[in-house]
Amino acid sequence: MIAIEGLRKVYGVDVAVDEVSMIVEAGALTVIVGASGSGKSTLVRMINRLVEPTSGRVWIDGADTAELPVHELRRRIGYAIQSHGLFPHRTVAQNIATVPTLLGWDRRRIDARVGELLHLFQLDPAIFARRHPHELSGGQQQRVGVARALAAEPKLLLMDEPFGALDPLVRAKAQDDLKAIQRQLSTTIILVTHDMEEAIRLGDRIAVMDRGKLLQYAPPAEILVHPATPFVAALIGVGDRPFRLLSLETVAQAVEPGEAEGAVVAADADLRGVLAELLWSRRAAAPVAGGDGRVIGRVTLARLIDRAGTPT
Amino acid sequence: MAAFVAPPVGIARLGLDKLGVVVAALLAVGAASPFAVFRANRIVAGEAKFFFAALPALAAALFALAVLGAAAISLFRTSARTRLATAIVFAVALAGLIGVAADHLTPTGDRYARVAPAAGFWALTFAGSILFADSVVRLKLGPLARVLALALGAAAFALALWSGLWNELSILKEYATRADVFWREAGAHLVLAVGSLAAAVVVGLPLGVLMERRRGLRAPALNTLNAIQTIPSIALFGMLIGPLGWVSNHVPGAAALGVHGIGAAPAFLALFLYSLLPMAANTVVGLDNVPRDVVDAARGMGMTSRQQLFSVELPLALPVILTGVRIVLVQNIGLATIAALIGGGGFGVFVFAGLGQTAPDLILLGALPTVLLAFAAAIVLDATVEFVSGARP
Amino acid sequence: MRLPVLFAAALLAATVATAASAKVVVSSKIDTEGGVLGNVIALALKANGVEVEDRIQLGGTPVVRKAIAAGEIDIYPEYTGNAAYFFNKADDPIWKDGAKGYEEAKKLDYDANKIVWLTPSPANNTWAIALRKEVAASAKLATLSDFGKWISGGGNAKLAASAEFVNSPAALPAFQTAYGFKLSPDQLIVLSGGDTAATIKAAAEQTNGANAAMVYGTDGAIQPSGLVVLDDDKGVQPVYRPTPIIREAALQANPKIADILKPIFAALDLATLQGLNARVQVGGEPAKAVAEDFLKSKGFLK
Repeated sequence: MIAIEGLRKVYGVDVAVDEVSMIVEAGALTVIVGASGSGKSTLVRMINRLVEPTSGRVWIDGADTAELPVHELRRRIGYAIQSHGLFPHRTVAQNIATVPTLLGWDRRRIDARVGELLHLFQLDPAIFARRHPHELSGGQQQRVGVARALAAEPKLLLMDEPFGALDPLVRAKAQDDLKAIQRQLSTTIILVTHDMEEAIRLGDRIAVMDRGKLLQYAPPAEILVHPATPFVAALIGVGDRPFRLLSLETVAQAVEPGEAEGAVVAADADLRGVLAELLWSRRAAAPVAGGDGRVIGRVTLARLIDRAGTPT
Repeated sequence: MAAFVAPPVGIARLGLDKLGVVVAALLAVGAASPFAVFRANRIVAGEAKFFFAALPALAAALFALAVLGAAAISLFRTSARTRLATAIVFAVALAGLIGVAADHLTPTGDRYARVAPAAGFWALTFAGSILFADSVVRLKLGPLARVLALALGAAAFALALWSGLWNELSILKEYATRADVFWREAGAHLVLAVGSLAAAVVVGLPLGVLMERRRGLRAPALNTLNAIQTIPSIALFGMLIGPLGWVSNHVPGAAALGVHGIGAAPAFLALFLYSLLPMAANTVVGLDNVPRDVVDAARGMGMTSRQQLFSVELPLALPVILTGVRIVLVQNIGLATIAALIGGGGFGVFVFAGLGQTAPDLILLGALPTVLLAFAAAIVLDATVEFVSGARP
Repeated sequence: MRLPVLFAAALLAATVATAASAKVVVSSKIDTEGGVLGNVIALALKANGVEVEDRIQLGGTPVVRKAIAAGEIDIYPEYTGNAAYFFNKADDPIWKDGAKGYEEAKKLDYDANKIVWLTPSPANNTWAIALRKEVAASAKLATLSDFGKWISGGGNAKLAASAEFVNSPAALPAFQTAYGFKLSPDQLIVLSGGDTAATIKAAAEQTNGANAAMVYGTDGAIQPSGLVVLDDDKGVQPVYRPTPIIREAALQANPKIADILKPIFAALDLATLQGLNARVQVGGEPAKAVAEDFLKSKGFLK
């Protein structure tokens, strides 16, 4: 559990982060979103003390980070950045093994961990372990970067625009993979992005920042439906609101008894995708299939329209 | 009828190699110029001898064949491998023939006569080197292959020397009369050049790291080092005599350690000072060029400053730093020649003795090994830099 | 922590210093004659049981003087006339007398630097004018007085010399004043450097009609080039006698050095020295072999 209390960073006369306080639950994926210059990167970099706060405190599981030796602190926190910063002169395996080596793990444990992570990120160790970063594609490099951040089994992972350099198709997959891994490992993740879509897609809670101030810290649905300030509302975008709201729910929450024609939609599909499917296939309803493939009901356009609007 | 409209005839259309035309022209000039020069003794003027006069009949025929063959192959579009082989064969032929010429022109038992290569020989050598270098570049030999080639060439050269092929050449006669001094000075020269390099690395590298870390230090340090660089070498060598002499006399133990006002100590110190700028500057540039996100990641992962430096920054800066080493070594091999002016020994002893006695062969005895050493150092270090950069994108 | 290190260093220095004092460091200037004389000294000392360290052909005059003053070398061959410049007495006429100049140099260097000048060689390695043999023979010229009369009487000479020799008041102008002749500009070929090998070569090959050359008295190339030195009978030039000079401390440690070198340097007259220099400069023989040969031929070496 991370507690950020009154964090403030001032560069000369420029206030980069202005008295930010928030609590991050253990095991949650928190996204900090804002435009460039909003102070979001600076905020996160104060957690692992790459930037020293002007004032304020950070507690991780009850320990004040200012009291810990800074190198030890950083070795216990995973750190993944946009340009991944992989060491060009080391192999993939050596890159991933960096923090465990710093922590003095024995050889066998390190090798096992590297293999485990490569599998987790769908990179065949036989092919990839001994390659150098420049022999990988952008997507593969990004995955290795995150694997490296997770190598020492940190309880907290900080990510600064980790998917920014990926093309859209690869990015979507990477985001889904991250959510899956996070659920699997129960790592607490704090992720910084300027992309609201990504924030809503990934975050259990979202913190919106503007010009150093924390404007709102709430689950995605809350942000969508009750934006705290006009700026937050603008960030969400009036045009996207209803669709973003739909994307938060699955078919299972909107299924109703009945029959429908045409192609089946899965119960765990998100409603935004289903809306697109219905519009495209010019249907008013579609049958819904459960996990075993049996039809369990239907979902209607009317229901979707109802769920896409401001709660009454 | 087909030739009615003449196509534009460029060199390429004729099937000629552009560089090959230059090489062939040089070969022609070289063959038409005197091959060797004969002097009755060390100080009288020489008589120029063309190849047909300098060589016995069979050798002269071989010479003509070699030149024509080399010219033909370089002139027309031949493969890089053929050209390389030609260059090597031509070099071997030339090396052999000059030895034969020296033998042929020296009357038996005459100790005073001196035979040296003349302008023609040097022009032919130059032409052969161009052909060789060009074909090496075309073949895109890797670093390891180049070093191997150097080793083989050196071995061949040593073999030729040992076999006595060139014993009648004037430069080797100069060597023969002072062989032990030659090796003594060779050792001194190497100690000066390599020793000052080692000292410069030990001091310059950490200095460069410091300059990269502390912004405030960078400009003043660079300015000081630049200022030192502009002092003319002979002046600097001379300037150090006084202070070092004082140290030698007044600091206990300094003289016993070899610190003297003249001799190797001021030469060593001057060479060391000249090497500091390239070493420190290249270290700074090398470290600056390490991608910032890599350094950020290293920091963020919890590496200490020292771990960052040794595990990440220095390995990535290595190619540029090694380039600095290369610059310094080649520079120092040449500069160490001046040490002889202040009693520091080295190949310069022969250069200056030769200048004083107007014996050009003695000058060459000092200059040629220096040039060859510098050349070899450049090849080995360039190959090393390339090899080290190989692992990077 | 400091003390043991200092102690060790001091001990090392003392050991090296005492070891060094038993050896005599023999040096010389970097020119041909320096090589010959230096090797003569080294070989002679070695044959008589003195341990010798070879630093022959160290550098030019300033380098060698600094070295001996600093105690880095013990003995080297110097020239009596040079003392004029070491002690800033260039205008003193005493240097023109061989014997008196030697005594003066000996006194000055001992008083100032505790350097002892041993027995000199009778040869005079000073600026001189050399003439082609056949010209000298046909006009019966042996001295510069003869030369002066011959030139004034319309003799045809063309002298190859350096700019310094032609312009320095102590050189050609002094000769001309003393011997009553004057060479016109087209009787002079002026070379830019002070290299006597170049002037000798010019006279030997009669380049541009040269038949006379500026030389140093003991230059090796004189004889083989068919030139002969004209005697400076009026003593216009300072005398430069080669003399072994040694630090007093080194001499006290090895007093027999003086006696060893005395007959050897006495035997090195002008002709002998020219011959030795010729073998090195013209014949290209190693200085060491030439020195050894000389010592053996005179019975100083077995």
